[in-house]
Amino acid sequence: MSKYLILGSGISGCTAGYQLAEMGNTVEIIEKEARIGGKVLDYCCKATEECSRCGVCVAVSQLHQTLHHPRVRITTGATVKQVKKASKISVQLDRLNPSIDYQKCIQCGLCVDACPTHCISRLDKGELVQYAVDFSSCLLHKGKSCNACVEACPAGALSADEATSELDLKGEAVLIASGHRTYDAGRKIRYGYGRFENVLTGAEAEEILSSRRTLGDGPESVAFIQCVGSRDPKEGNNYCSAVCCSYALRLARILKHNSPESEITIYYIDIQNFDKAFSSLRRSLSEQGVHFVRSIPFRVQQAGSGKLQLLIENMDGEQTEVEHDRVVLSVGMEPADGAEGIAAAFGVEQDSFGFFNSRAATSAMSSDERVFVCGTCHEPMSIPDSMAAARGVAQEIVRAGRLSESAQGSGTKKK
Amino acid sequence: MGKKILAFCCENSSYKAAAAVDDEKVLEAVEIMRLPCSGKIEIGLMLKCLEEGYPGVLVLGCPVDNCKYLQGNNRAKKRVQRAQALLEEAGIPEQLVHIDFLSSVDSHKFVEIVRGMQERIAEAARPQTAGASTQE
Amino acid sequence: MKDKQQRIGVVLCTCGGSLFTEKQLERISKGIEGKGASAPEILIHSNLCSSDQQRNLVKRIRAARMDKVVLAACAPVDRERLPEQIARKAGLSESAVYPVAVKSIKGKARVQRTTREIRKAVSAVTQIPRFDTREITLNRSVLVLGGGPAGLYTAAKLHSLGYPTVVLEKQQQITGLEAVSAYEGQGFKKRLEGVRLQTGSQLVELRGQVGRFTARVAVPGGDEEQVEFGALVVATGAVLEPSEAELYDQQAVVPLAELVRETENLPRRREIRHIAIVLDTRLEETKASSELALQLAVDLQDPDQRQIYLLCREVRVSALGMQGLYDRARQSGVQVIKYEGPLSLDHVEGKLKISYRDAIFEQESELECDLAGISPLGLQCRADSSLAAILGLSTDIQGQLQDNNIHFLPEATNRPGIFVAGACRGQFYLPQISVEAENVAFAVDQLLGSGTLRVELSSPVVDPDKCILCLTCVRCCPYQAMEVDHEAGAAASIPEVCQRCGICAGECPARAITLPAWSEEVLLGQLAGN
Repeated sequence: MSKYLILGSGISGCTAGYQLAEMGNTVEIIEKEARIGGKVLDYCCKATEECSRCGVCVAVSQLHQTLHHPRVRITTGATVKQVKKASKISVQLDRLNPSIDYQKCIQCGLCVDACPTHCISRLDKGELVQYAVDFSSCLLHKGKSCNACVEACPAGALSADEATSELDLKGEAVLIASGHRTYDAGRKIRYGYGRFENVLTGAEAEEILSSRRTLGDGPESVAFIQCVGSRDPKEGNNYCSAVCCSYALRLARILKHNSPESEITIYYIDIQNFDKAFSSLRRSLSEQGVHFVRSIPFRVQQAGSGKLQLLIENMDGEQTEVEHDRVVLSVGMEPADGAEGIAAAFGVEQDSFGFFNSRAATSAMSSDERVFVCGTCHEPMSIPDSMAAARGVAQEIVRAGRLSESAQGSGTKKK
Repeated sequence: MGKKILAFCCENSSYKAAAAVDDEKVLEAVEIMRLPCSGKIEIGLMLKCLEEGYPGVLVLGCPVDNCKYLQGNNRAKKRVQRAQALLEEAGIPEQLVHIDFLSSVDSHKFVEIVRGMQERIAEAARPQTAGASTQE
Repeated sequence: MKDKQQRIGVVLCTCGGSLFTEKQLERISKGIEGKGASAPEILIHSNLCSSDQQRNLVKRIRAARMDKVVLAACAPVDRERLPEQIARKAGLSESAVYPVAVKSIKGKARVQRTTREIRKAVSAVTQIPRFDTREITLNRSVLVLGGGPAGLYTAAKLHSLGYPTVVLEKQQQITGLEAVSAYEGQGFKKRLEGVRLQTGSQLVELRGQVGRFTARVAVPGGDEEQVEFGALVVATGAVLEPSEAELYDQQAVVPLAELVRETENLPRRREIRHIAIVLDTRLEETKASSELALQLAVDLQDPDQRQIYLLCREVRVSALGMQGLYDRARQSGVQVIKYEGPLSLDHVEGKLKISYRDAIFEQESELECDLAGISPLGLQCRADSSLAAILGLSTDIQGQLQDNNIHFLPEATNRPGIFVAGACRGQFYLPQISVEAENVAFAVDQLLGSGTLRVELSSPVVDPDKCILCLTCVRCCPYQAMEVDHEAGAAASIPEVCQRCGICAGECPARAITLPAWSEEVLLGQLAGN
């Protein structure tokens, strides 16, 4: 059995890692952030009494299973310094400490109490429980020495000898599943994000709705503006982010369901369909009375009434103003911060937008046969599609490994 | 300690959601009973629990199309409705049995559902007055 | 079983001595202990995460000859690996090790609540019988229905994993090779070497269970064959309703694929000056249709000779590269028209008139053209419903195979051992079909890989005295795991198919069915422990 390296502990990386581990391999997952799981942890369940198939619950379940798989090790707070390709692929990492060994962690929480600056916190999402360190508050990173958490831990799951450790991981192949960055809505100055209180992004709406039923108190008029930062040549993002229609429609559905007196309007160009039950979802939204307007407002400003005013220009150049209480900007996906660095380090090509290329539409292998790409670092995609693709990649990785093994075994030299 | 509201939780969704709940009062207000699927709940069991003096019975399953066993939640809904019909026939407030749906990551919904159930039980316990004004 | 005196153990993992203080442990132990022979034996362990400690525990369980174990440990909330592993190593059935998640019990009343949860578990597990297991040998061959892209991809991947694979194709030719080779190159054919591709053949009856299916197949010449296999993959594609086919007249109104084929000939047909490509006529289509339509529009558009109109309700561009393709189409002069409401086609004076409501200009419009290519996927295209009935598979509201259930995506069906991929489940986009095929291959590998299936005989038990053969359980089981045992004159569950959900037990009007590990005694047992 082989050892594989995975960059990114989001839903794609974890699904592929679990699959590879189930097939008998050892997996090292390298995570940049302090917590595992990626962006899924900030998304909410979008069911009314009926599931909307957003995939958040199955994703969290998968993350939980991966975290506890005996053949998977996840290292958080780790960034790639150097990559060397020899008979194995060797990745040198800088790992921020204190580092938590999730295989040893027994989730007792004693480190949380022991830390003098309270920089360790417990994160709960469904059945997934993990502990994460806020390195900016940790004394180690302020030039002081501190061993409080290490000593408090009864399972020896923490290490904190120095602020940063160097790690060298080797594997037969690498899967890059480093995810994406959400488009910064602040770049659309005309939408007033950051200036007006009631303008928020879809991602923020999801986070709020993870612990509340509505965005505000009482019925309100909510506008969704689609394609913010997507299908946008001026912003350099002339592609569709694939998920914004799906999350906006699902959020609209629960907002209308939880607050039937609210008015929900979706401003759009084209509605993308996203799974095989799409038509019935679209129909149920119309039945609920959600409004669909086929124009994108070009500006959001404050009205005299204190509400938000959306300015829309129609085909004849006439301008209209519509008032809403709240505006949700359906922001899209962009390549993650540091994508260029990762591409350079692993020798992966990027397309004109910065997403990582695979060698063919039906393959996840990059131009290097030992480097694979999957998930949103490769192409914008939904949670269910990411999970399916990740399982596919695991198969492809193992198959490629077998082919190269038999090629070596028969005496043929591999390049 | 008095008898608590029984929450029959399907182990795939509501049981997991309940495990992530922080609210002490809510956790103290219910006795969590684990089921493989909400579709396992039986009418007789629900009524028996009320008979034994439990103040209320909550059945918590997955949202429609989210049931790991496909149809369990739909079946459970029909059975709860049947139990409610039987209660009404017997002159017992039907809201003492209630079914709701949530996914495994919806801990805040679990809290709301329990609080809602407490209100429903309190409402059912209030004596019915006709005409005369009451002071609450 | 319940009469025999059971030896019950409670394992309390203290998480390295951190979870509870000595005093708290004492309080918990006192709260759990009972009197007499049925009193549970309390074992306190410190770090069950370590394999040493686990081995130690297994030894102690065996030495004490325990029948049941309540595991109050940091094991994850649901039945995850630790209880299973311990049960197996200790020689107990899986349901004999009952996990209690003490880790997640937080707050001031923690000790009290922990004690209560453990008592509930002891009380419940006492009621769970001991189960035997059965080993079933699995047939490692796989039958794939459908020679389209989904069927071929799946067959190739299964073959590469070493599973003897047969593809049955209803028509006389294997239809998927062209489409797949366009993506994979001509080398794809080699990947199918060793796979038996059987044309003109159709499945007419399916019997048996996961790992041991038998089917009757109609073959050319009117004969029938019997085939045996361990897993079935349904990749039979989408079929146009016959009534919808009337829309095509083979002259001016043709299926989109025909327009694609005609691309080379069209320059010679100078009378064709206006061509309409129509999507979403009655059903919303997907990006697969958009991609095909946009590419076709780009290929056909010729500013000197031909104007192409693309009519759709939404422009679907949710794959990388498609926005670029859309821009190219428009730049080359293709007129993209977004319409809403019904669309009608009329033959007027030798031309085709298409009437529609323009969604952007919000007005009734019409256009005249010489030729219209209508995408069949926008008409009533559904999976083969008679096949679904033969196989006992559920369909969704759109007539596609597979329930719209997130836990089943993308390849699982309501029947263990039967998988689905491609257009028959609503997936028309070839790169994603390839992904689905990988998912199927993995699922089949997980199922058939070891060659045997170890089944705990804990599926529902039917009381033949109470069973009235109303067949409610047979009908309500989502997995077709209940059958009629004619000898016993009662229903019976099939352990290797049953998923232990308990729906049948809950539904039986005669109260004849018990799901042993979750019987009423077990559930009420949770209360008795209070």
